Amino acid sequence: MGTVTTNSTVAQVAGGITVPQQQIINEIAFEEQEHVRFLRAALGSAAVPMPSIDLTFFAPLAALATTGSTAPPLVGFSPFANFNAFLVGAFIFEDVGVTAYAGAAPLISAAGVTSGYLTAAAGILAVEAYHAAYIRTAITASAIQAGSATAYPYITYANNVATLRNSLTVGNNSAAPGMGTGNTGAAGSSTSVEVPLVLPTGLTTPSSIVAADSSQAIGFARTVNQVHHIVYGSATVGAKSGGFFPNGTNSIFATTTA
Amino acid sequence: MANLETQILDDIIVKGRRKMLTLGSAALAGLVFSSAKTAQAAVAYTDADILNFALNLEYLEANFYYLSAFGCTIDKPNAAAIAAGAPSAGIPITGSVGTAGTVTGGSKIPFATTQVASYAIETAIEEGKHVLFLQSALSTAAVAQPSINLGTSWQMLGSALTPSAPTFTPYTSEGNFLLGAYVFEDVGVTAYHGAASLLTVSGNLSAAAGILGVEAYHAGLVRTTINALDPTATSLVPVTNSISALRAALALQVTAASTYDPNPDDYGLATFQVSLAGAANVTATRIVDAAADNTSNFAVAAARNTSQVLNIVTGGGAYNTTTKTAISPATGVFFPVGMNAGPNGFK
Repeated sequence: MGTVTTNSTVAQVAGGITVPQQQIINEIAFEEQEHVRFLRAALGSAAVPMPSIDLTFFAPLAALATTGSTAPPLVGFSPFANFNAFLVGAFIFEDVGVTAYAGAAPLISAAGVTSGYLTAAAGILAVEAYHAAYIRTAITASAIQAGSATAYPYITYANNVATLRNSLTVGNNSAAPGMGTGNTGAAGSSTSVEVPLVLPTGLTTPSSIVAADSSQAIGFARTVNQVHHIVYGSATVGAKSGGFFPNGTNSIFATTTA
Repeated sequence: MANLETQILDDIIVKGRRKMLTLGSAALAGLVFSSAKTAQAAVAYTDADILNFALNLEYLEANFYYLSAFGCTIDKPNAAAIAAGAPSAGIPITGSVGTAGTVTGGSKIPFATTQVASYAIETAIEEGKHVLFLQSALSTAAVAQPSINLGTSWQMLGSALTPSAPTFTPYTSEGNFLLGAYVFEDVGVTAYHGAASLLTVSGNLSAAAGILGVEAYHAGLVRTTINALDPTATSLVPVTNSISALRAALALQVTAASTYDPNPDDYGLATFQVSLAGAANVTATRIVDAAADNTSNFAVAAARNTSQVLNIVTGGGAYNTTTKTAISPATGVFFPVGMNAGPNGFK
């Protein structure tokens, strides 16, 4: 079993968070904990142990994402520093979780469909999207209240992360069958699998909470390989480990491909 | 629908995961075998029937948001809608199945904040695109827009709430608008979720999974914003609890004759207690509408079958609780003369 590395002795979000902020963190922590328990129960003796996890990777990942940013680059970033940093840290994961489950759904076998695995995967997909919506809504609302991206640079940081995630979605145009153009395979869909947050102004412009294909409003999908490139923080083909997983994931998909 | 086999199949789909987990792996092997047999015997509908069911719901949602955000229906976009990205020719409402019905009620929300206005506009445009996508995917099999009631339906729904809100309308304030949106979004999530296992074409499943994600983003957005507008949980939050309880009761009606899951699987925004890593209980928000009873549900969102969704959007019109039989077409509340569907379709 692996270990978890953090950059502080007590890796809890600090910086004077409010009671409602603590409660949302509690909720997401609980639900992700339950997903671990669910998958372990469903897999039974086939469940893999936890791989080693390096949560200090947030710092180099944020530095990479925000190099050349319109906001001051993030140096020494920790999602545990304060609530806004937590939102950016969570942003790194949640939209990816949605796309990962969307990409996995059509791969489940017919036997898996009848035994309930597809509906379970769809149920977790929904929960990840609820989480992603919370994060995107909270960042957008804070930016609206602050009045500008300069006053609330976290919206810029989130978009820097989205750009990086998109560039790490390797092989977008040669993705698995059914995902032809990198998202849902729907005709006319774009090759980008990210939608940046926007800062709406006034009462007549739309927000950008939903991460979905701009022509048909259908959520994106990623292959298992594309998800690995993101969590390893590397577009390198053939990587066996890196980023959040210093010894790789415990998975037959652990080595990245084109 | 509602022949015995589809009913059984629906039942398995809805509670499959829970059954799987509560009965253990020995029972799981039997479940796989028996449900596979059922699936073979029950192919009375096609992917088109399922996508058309979704299209009826999207006509409803898209018109609600167009009226709320812009003050127009999807087929007759006004300048505000077109400026925000609505197709200038309007979204078609005719189809090869059924006659295009009209939309009654609904008017533009008196927006006061950038947050809620921008969310309403975004959602309206996205739901409109879902209508267009499903029409395109279904091509000549697409159903026309059914008759939709977005006016007095809200008072019917409000009257059924506990405590009763017989004068409720979503069109008078941002808070009420979010409550109206709350009625639809979590239902959309559960409907696409329930449909996923029924689709046979891989590309359709990919698209349905993608739309499921979008509906859940919308639901999360609505629930997050209601919490933000009602930080003391005294005005809007209690209504969300009432709406969730009503939805759960209506869904349970349909399956009351069977030993359906006693857990309602529908939760308002009241906070709840969770245990993290085995530590003492702490208080958590309820942005996610998913059961989390720590024994069998594992924070996996619920699915609903078509009968349950129909019974919710028709306010109990899909099931005769006296004779315990399905009513088809289901009529009432948002669909005064029922949905449009093909010969084997769900209505």
